[in-house]
Amino acid sequence: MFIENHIPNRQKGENMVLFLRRHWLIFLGYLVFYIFLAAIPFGIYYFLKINYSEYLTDQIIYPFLLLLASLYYLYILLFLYHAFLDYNLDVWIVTNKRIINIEQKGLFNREVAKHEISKIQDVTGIQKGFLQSIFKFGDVHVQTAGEIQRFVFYQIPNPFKVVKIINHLLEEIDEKRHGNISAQKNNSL
Amino acid sequence: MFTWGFLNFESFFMTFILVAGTILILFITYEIAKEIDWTQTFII
Repeated sequence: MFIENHIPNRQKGENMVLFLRRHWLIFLGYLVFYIFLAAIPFGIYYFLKINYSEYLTDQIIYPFLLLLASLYYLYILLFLYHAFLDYNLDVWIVTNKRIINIEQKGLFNREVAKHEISKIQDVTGIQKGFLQSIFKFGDVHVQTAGEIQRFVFYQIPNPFKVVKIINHLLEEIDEKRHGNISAQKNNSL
Repeated sequence: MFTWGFLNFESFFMTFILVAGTILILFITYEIAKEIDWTQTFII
């Protein structure tokens, strides 16, 4: 199963229009941060080697430092994996009928929310700050008449393009609805 | 981990990094730690 082609509980005649994830720069930010954290013990090692070299030959302190460093790197790997999972499994799917918001919370919690396109009242794209303007990513706020009234696509690429596509879908649904109403009126006359 | 690790290439790669990295860290720790004399007594 590939997540990219999968619509949860696909309805009849439902097609995927957009498959959205956070911008890659967000994950790159995490990656750089964890690489920086991974470099810290090397700095500490050279600091100790130059200033307190006796600690590195000490029969008690050296094993303690070794186990501490090992544990530290294991946690860094785990946190990096968690950051990747959060990036990779937080997904927004726009189909011609619904918007599906899949959110990964922690390692084992997953939340899936679905919203009918026809219930959308307002769509807003927000791009703020230097990085978002340069790399063209930002948030899209969607206001619905459903249970969850406002939900957000966080840090997705090309937010204004997404707003345009959702508005286009809304127009199509409106046209279909008005077409049906006028056809019903004509039939009743 | 195996379910999500095979969704696409990126997730496979990251899962591989996690598993291989964990094994590597544990192996290096073991290799260094076996040089230490753990039978000595702690004297204050």
